[in-house]
Amino acid sequence: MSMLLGYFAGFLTNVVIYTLFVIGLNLQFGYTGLINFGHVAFLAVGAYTVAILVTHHAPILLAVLAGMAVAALFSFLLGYPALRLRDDYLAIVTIGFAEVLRIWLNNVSFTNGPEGIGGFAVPLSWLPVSHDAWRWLFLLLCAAVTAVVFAAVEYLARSPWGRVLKAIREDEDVAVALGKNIVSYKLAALALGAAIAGLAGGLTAFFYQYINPHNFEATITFEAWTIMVLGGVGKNWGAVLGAVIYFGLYTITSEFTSSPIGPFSTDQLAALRIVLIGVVLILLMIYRPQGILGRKEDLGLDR
Amino acid sequence: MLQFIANGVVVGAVVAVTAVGLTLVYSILKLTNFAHGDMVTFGAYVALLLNLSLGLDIWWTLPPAFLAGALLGVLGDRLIWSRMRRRQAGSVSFIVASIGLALALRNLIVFFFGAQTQHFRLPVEMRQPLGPLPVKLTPDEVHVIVAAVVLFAGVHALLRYTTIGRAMRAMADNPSLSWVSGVDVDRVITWTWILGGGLAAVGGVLYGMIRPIDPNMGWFLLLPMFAAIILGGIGNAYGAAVGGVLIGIIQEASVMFLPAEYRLAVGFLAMIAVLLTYPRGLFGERSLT
Amino acid sequence: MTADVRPSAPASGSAPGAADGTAPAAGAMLSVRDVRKLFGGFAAVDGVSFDVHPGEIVGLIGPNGAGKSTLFQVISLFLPATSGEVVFMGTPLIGRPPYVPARLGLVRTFQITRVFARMTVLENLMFAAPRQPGEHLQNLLLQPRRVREHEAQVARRAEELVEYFNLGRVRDQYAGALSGGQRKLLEMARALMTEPRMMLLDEPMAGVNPALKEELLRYIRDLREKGMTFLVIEHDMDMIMRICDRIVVMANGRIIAEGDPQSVRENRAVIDAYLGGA
Ligand SMILES: Nc1ncnc2c1ncn2[C@@H]1O[C@H](COP(=O)(O)OP(=O)(O)OP(=O)(O)O)[C@@H](O)[C@H]1O
Ligand SMILES: [Mg+2]
Repeated sequence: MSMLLGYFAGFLTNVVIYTLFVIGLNLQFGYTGLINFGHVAFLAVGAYTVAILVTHHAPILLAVLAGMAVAALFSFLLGYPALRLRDDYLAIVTIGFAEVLRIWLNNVSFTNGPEGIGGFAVPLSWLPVSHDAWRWLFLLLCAAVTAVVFAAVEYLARSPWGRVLKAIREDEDVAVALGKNIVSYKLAALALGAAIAGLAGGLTAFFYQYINPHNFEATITFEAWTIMVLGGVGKNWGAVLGAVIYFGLYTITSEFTSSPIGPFSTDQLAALRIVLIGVVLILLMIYRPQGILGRKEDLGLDR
Repeated sequence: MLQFIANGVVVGAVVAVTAVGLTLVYSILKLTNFAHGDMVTFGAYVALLLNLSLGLDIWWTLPPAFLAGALLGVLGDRLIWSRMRRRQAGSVSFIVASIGLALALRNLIVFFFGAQTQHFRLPVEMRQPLGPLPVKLTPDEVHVIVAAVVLFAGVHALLRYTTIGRAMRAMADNPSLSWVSGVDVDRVITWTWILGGGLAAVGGVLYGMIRPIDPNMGWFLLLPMFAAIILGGIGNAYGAAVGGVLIGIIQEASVMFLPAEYRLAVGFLAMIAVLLTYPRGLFGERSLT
Repeated sequence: MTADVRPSAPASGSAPGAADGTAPAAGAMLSVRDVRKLFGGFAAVDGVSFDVHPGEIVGLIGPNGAGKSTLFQVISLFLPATSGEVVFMGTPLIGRPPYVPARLGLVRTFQITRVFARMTVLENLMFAAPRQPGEHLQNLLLQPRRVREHEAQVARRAEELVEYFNLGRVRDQYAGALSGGQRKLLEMARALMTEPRMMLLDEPMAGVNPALKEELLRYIRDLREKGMTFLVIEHDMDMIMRICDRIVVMANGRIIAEGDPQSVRENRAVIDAYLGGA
């Protein structure tokens, strides 16, 4: 029973952290139309910054804030050259950025290369509770953080600032013709989204308690996209719904794939599961690109 | 130095063959196909299957690999892309769907063949360096270059001198015009996928002749391919070929200064540099010729 | 019809006589100086100079492909000029970022109407208001009250323009659901939200039914009464003749005639250009 409960806490923590991660992506793509296919880079930067700083005994809160800041900084590095590019180029450049970052993390010494980093302090560890109880408390912490970010992003989206983002997404020429400096808005949206991903990265580091470059492969970005389009682009509730459904399916299928079935090994079954993600993405794109919560007349995946 | 350039030309020849298909699909169908790399992988595994289980000499796997790749391309269009076109999906939907296809293809390959790296069964003497040359090249590597050149000549002839090739160029130049001016659009689309998918698959086989293959190979080829077509001017088939060779050389030459792991990164940075300085590529965006 | 469309109108003078070729005229609101725009080797705009004075309605006409839209793109900084200069109210524009003209009071519309389809009519308008504190993140965090008050002001102005353009019934509808005519009006209203001194209109009458044409005509005239300046590309000769104080005629990238409607109508070169070009 307690094992099952602990497992459930893990499931929910995944949902919550991914929701946070996707809220960042949604700010970039859903609201502003920036095709970021390298979102995992910001997750990685946040996670590594936190892991390294905390290993060197930095206060946890400070480390997390630093993770967000460094992620935002990296987004400028990427955005400054890339935001001038067309949609399809931006997609390619962001994917490349994340891949290069991962290769770099894998080959430099301060990240400990492929071995990764572990054994750093985690939040709430001073509480005299069992490991299972800690998992639930950590879940609550993640949920609280995500709720605050959710509310903040909703507030921004409804503000005049958010109106500019929506306008940029719909027709950036018109936004420019009416006097808006769209590049600065795009950079801001990219940086904010990156900071949110960096925050999710910090939480990921604490959640796994051990990170290595393998945790930050391109698949993570595509999972985030799947969650976003599943729930409905441009809607923060869509991120929640998408994450619940996605991890629900993921967990159910991993029940089936945790032991060999018939002639198939677990590796094969794990591969089949990713095939399933791919097929779901394709079917969504053909039959319901606006996602579950989206309406046709709203801003969807395409302009 | 010369040696790195030689290696670069070999790798570049493979990138070039695959990149031409990518750029054809891009310019004619307006599809940025992130699954293209996995179509390359697919071709390599078709060859592996024929090579290992039927004992077919690797050169004889090229025609069936081409056919299988072409079939995959056409099938993908019937099942996915044509449906999306009918629903007037936008470019982002196409990109996301192509990523879905990439994930599905790659993991189907893992499912059937496993994730480990594998080798074609090649005659040993093909791996011995050729005699008195200033650089070390194996017969296989030379054959790969020759094969790439022959494929190019074929593509060139097709685009230049056949009716369907001319129609493809017309559609790349001005899709809306060709809808009205009596170009058989469906036929052009089918042929684009035959060429694009077929060349991708053949490129995968050529890759397997110089490197071990694994299910991720196409994914890691995708960035150099994009770099090549951007370098050469997107939509420009000859530019893609030259871009492919250039990227190959840049990547291999970087090994002189940086750990080999950074090869991919170097190709990517070269692409960014080109995008920033010549947004239309070294040879300009233009029609397929 | 009470909406004050501009905060500070320049003294609305009647149109002075046509400016001569290239000499920069004092008192010009918009000064186009020897502008060239090459596409590859082809000169779409080939050394064009003219002035627009405060309160004028100037028509820009010419056969298809004459280079009118290209000239607009250059003036509004959407395309870089190959050479030449454009001066708006004393400020040289060429080389500056494309959001600058609107901030200085020079706003353009597009040849094909472009509204934000997935935003409501009111949102479309509110978006365009200049100098909104709520468009900056630091204000949203530090001065939410100031943001709210300003937003209310912007909403009031938007409401005024909605009334002025008779869009009251659709104010909360998505712009994508509007009729073509309503979109034209919305686009004009939205441009006015930026508090411009001068408007560049690219074929405002194209694809518009006769009743709406008359309506647009009335708006343009009324706005001019209030001091607005216009540069209008238009193919509808009847309209051009009726509203313009002065007409600039382009063909093959050059100005071939310039003057009041009557003299342009009788100009031999103009008649030839239209007959030859058509
Ligand atoms: N981006 C471009 N690249 C190359 N040529 C262009 C480009 N834009 C316009 N042209 C060419 O420049 C010339 C002028 O075009 P422009 O659109 O300015 O004409 P116009 O006077 O507005 O015509 P219309 O009355 O039909 O709108 C045309 O020959 C056109 O083909
Ligand atoms: Mg025009």
